[in-house]
Amino acid sequence: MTAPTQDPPAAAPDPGAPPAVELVGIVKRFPGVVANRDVNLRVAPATIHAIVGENGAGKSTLMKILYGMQAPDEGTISVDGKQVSFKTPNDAIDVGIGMVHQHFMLADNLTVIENIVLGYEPRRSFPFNFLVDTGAARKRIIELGQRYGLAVDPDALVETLGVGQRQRVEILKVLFRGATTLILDEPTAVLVPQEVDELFANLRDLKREGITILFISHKLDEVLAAADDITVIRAGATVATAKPADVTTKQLAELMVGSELPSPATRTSTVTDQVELSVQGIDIFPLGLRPTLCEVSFDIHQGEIVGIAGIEGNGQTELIAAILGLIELDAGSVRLGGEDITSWPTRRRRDAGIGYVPEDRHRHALLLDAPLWENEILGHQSRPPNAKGPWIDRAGARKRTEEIVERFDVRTPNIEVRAEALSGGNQQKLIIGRELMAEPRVMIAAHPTRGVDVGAQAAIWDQLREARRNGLATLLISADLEELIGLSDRLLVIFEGRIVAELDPATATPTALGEHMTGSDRGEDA
Amino acid sequence: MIRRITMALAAPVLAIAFAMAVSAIMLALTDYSATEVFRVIFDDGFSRTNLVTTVNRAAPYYISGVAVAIGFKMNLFNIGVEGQYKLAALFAAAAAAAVELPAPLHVLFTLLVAMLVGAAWASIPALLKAYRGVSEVISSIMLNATALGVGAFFIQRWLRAPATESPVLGTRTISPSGQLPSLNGLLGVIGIDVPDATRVQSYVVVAAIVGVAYYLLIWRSRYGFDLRATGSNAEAATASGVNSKRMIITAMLISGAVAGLIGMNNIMGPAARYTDVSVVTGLGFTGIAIALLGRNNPVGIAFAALLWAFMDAVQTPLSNANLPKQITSIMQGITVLSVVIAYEVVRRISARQELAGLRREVTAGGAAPPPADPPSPTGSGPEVAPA
Repeated sequence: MTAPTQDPPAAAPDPGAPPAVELVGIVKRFPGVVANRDVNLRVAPATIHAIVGENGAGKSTLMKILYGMQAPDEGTISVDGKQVSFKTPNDAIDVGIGMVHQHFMLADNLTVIENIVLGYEPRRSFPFNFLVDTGAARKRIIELGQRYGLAVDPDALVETLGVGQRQRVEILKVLFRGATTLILDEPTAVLVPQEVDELFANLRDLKREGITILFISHKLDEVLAAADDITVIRAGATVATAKPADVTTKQLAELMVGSELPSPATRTSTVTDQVELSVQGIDIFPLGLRPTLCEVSFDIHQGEIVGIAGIEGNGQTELIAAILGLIELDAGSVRLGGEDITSWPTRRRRDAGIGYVPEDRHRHALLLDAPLWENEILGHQSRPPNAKGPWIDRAGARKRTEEIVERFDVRTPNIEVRAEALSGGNQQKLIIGRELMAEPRVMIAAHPTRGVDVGAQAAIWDQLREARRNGLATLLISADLEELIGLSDRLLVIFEGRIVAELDPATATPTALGEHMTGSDRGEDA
Repeated sequence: MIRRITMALAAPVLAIAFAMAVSAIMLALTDYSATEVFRVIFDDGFSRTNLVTTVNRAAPYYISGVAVAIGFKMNLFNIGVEGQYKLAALFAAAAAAAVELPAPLHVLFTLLVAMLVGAAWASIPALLKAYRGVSEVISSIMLNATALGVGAFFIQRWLRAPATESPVLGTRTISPSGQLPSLNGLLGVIGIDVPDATRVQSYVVVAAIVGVAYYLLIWRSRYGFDLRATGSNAEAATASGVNSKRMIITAMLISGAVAGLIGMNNIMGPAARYTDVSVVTGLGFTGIAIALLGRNNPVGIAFAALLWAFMDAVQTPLSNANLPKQITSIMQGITVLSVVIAYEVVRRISARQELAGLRREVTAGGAAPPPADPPSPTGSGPEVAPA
């Protein structure tokens, strides 16, 4: 490996001040596995420090240790030069370390103030100390907001806020508790590009006010854009530290995986003029609510990948359900290869050749407590090689599973292992393999590489491309704009249940997509 | 394989040992000799007469366990087994007494009626659940009480044998062609002599058939796969094309049909008619405990049913020896309670072992991260542009 300093800790900060957080020789073992084997981390005060690594590299464990949710087996933690040991998250908060979780922990039906003070309420003075001093809380929150540039209306209900604003509330919540070091876990995962820029501006303001920020990410562009220092973690150990000026995303990715970075690009067109899936004028109007899908129409041709871009919750889930027959349509039709399948039940549609890779594999694609070969059957239980008449063909299913494990590189000791025991990437490879091996005509792939590591991601992209070349019509729904732009032959943007734009991925940029996705091309929404 | 079996047996063995220990303490506290009690259990319990009683009692327990387990396999809690088998027993007994058929047909007819009645009664909670979302726990438990009333009403009004035939309230007597034979003769042929006074009822054969059918249906058929998939992850099953409403209804009907068979042992055997005492009460609830103890596994349920029946049967020798027979009821209760905990503990241990084994195997070679260059199938290489 070429790039930066190999041995941690490196990046020397201001020599005078002690590091805001310092970890030395952290080891954390779980039964049968070492999550962190040798973690050394030195975070200079008032800097933005990024921790990057693949899924399963030990980032989350490291954060849990820093935040007092788990105690390390070996090694020391120092905060501002003083050695500390945390038994609970409260101990971490006491020394000024606060955590902003990836999934927001806010009560929708409470106001911003109420959410922020929850569990940490300022009291009125005696004899009214059983009452929350809302006035003082509001004053403090406004003050914090002004000081750090985190403006939110303290009296707004959280359910009315957008994702970016909710994140600001989360950050305020931590600051309100007196945190001087913030840990942000994948803070940009839920944001569109515009919101990401805002977040980074906020982080820089915080830094200027003396707050130390530690954030975990695997989006390397963002890391390079926002961080002052970068620590790379691989297989449970910190393997390098770097300054963003000295490295490229490619070098960082190589450090993360120890090998080359894959790319989703897929240029040679294989699109034919045969329409395989045709969705025409679909409406779904839930009773008394805003329509979730409104006049959605598109065609997917054989050998074509159509990408759907959109912020989650703009009708993608319902669109998938409509194509699979999991939901009743209020209007419109679905045709598969010219045949009207609108009234078909799900089983018939799937048997006719609709493959499905769901966004949440644990909830929609796997029987976690069943062995791999039974998971291979799921969704294909009425067809060979999995079925013989009314019976399950165990031998056939096992053989097919062996083939999938082999061809799709599912890392498992054998096919009798329960699905639960596989890592996310291997689970996903099994699912992709099971769907593709059934030779579908149409594939619905929702976030096919979400939460899988870079190696598995490359493999999955390869599989989708290969299937596309063989004539598969694919509907790709993803939050990863690069994946969408890289894989799709055509991009549709969905916003509030409508297809609002069609773009050519050759010319589309994430920023342009982001504008359509937030509806900001048609008047400000957030 | 051997480890898997050991793991499967560890929990029930632990639970039984724990139950025996607690019983011993209770006996000691109440000034009974634990050694004396266990001596009676282990010596007289395994006498031939007692074993025959055990097998006879185990058959309905087994069927009841299977009926409950079918629901459990897809997270349906059919508490209504109790009402289903009682109504089924009444109507099947009445139907059997009303017809004359050649022996095997008569028996099959009776069993079929029992299954249909059980399924019909189970269809009420099934439809309520599928189309109105009513919890099957609530509706089926209330239908147990309703079943008693309905049964009493029918037997008073239409199904009772005339007082001239029998002074006891009940259906007419089933003719011998509709009764199941004793197995004593058959056992004698293969060299197992059972005294005539202790009748080995052939209902154990019915139980065995139910067990085999249960295994084939749940573990080998496509229907069974859909059912287990629904139980394991309902949303994933729906996405795979399973029609959840139809699954709820059919699973409940099958459970009810099997439940219908529970009470027929005595009716088609020694009693030959339905009376208030010819059908034992509470078999449906015992079935819940037995399904739990046997982990819904066809062989496991058999062991659980035999164990339960053994503890019932051993009460006679215990009271003959002037020892407290209630101790076996206590043991049954403690076994069920502790086996739930034991299964969970064993499950966690084996899950952890499996995970550890997997990690070892997959990350063999220690620190080396997985090669980020997986073999791309059928060479899609050329399209991968270097970043």
